[in-house]
Amino acid sequence: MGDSLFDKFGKTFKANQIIFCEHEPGDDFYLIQTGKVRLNKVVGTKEKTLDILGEGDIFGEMAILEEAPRSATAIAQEPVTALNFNKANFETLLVSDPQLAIKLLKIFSKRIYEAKRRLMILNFTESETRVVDTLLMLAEQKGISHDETEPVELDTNEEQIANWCAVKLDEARKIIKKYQNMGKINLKAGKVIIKNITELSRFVYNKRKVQYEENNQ
Amino acid sequence: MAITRNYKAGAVVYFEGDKSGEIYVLKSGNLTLTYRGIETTSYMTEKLNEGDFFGVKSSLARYKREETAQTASGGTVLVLTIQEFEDLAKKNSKLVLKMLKIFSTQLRRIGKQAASLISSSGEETPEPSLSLFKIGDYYLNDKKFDQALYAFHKYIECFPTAEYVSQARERIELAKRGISTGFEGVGTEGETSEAEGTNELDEVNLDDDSFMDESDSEESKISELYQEAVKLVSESQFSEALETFSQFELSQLKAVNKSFYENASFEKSYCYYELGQYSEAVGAFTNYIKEHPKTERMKSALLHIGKSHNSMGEKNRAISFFKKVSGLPPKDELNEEATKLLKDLEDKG
Repeated sequence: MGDSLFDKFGKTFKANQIIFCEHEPGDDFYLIQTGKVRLNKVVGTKEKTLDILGEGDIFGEMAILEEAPRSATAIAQEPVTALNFNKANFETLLVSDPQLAIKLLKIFSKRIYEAKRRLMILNFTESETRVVDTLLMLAEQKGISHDETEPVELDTNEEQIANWCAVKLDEARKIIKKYQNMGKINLKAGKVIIKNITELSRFVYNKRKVQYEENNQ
Repeated sequence: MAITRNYKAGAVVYFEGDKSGEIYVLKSGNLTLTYRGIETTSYMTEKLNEGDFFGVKSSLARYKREETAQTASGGTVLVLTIQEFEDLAKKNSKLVLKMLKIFSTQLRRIGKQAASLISSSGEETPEPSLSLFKIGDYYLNDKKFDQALYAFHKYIECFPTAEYVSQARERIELAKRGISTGFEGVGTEGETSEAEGTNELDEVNLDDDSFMDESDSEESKISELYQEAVKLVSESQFSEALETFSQFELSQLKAVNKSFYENASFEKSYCYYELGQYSEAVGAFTNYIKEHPKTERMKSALLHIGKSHNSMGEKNRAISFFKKVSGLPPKDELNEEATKLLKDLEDKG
């Protein structure tokens, strides 16, 4: 990427400086040129680090599409230089950096898939089915098939699961507890272990079948 | 070099569930995509035009095909690997831009559907401005003053007419004091500095008007105050109850429990009435009705507004409220009371 692009769209941030804050409205996004950026989110009563991004990574790109509030706080972990793009200069960017445009295409493809998958979960009215289907989805994201016979380890926790399937945390906890008591899943620090994913998959499959039949009536 | 494939009538290019990195362009002939709706098993179809791309998303994101691609009367298809597609895309920014626009429209549509499902399942989607304010409060309580400062400044900048602008200003001062006492950026460098400065921070009294409910402890505090106030009302200790209700903003209860909020709004109004603060009672009950138009206590609220007017000597207003109550089904003692009060007033008049 040429220097001229940085002259036009470049921004620098000091270490620990906030780039944007969770829930702040926004319509621009960033491409990191140097340095590291930490993405934090307040979950419940704790602030969690979602990701640490480096050179060549994009963040805040959802805002340009949805003009939705930021879903996380971005903080410069160390001195950062980044290109800042908005709707107005978006096209200039795409033309001047085709590689970045392709990267965005890939990100969006993935986002669409994930969003559709989430929609399938949210279409269930029962919280239990939502929670179980969320476990399946997390396994899918790791590339694990529903035929897997070995126990499946997921890096997640109750809050994340509850958040993903829009079930109240207390309720999600109860459901997870129930599955734990039945011996179907195990909880370790920051991990959920599914003993038999095929069994959970069959449960959700049957629920989905019933739902389709109801909807088609 | 990209290859071209010819398909006979009825041939399938790929099936739903296949996994492949190939991306296609329809060169000639016809092609139909068949995919399953998210909510039903019924399939939907989309007919492609010559020059259309297909199989792009699933290839780029490395997911299974979500649709089946089939040609009815045969067709010719250009087959690209991901690398070939990227090479093509690099030379053709218009193509990429067009695709990005299509993708973004899809994303937005799915996002909207998800949002409607989430809101219908009873999850709260708070005002964006309030969420930003709460983030500021979170940082302030967490002694991340720089971040708090940023959040409150943004709140004022982005929502200059929002409800808590003056509180945001106060909190900016608190954050500045936090920074000047030398604990700037606590926490922004990781978990190491957690223990420092807890004593000094007591000076920055964050709890003096803690009306936000970000943390569980604040929620439970408000909850406690609410319970206490309700108990005092039931013991007819109205001025103590009113005092307790005044220790927090009733609207904070919304985040804790909506029925608490409704109940508190009613009980607080009732306290005003019992204490003879009739014009406050009228205002509070009127607000209550406005905010809870479907309340079961509609009749009772209307009756108390009427009685307040009556006590203030506003006879005509009182009469109109009593009339309203006496006519509202189902008939119960409130109707009787309203009818009786109405009769008394009319006898006097």
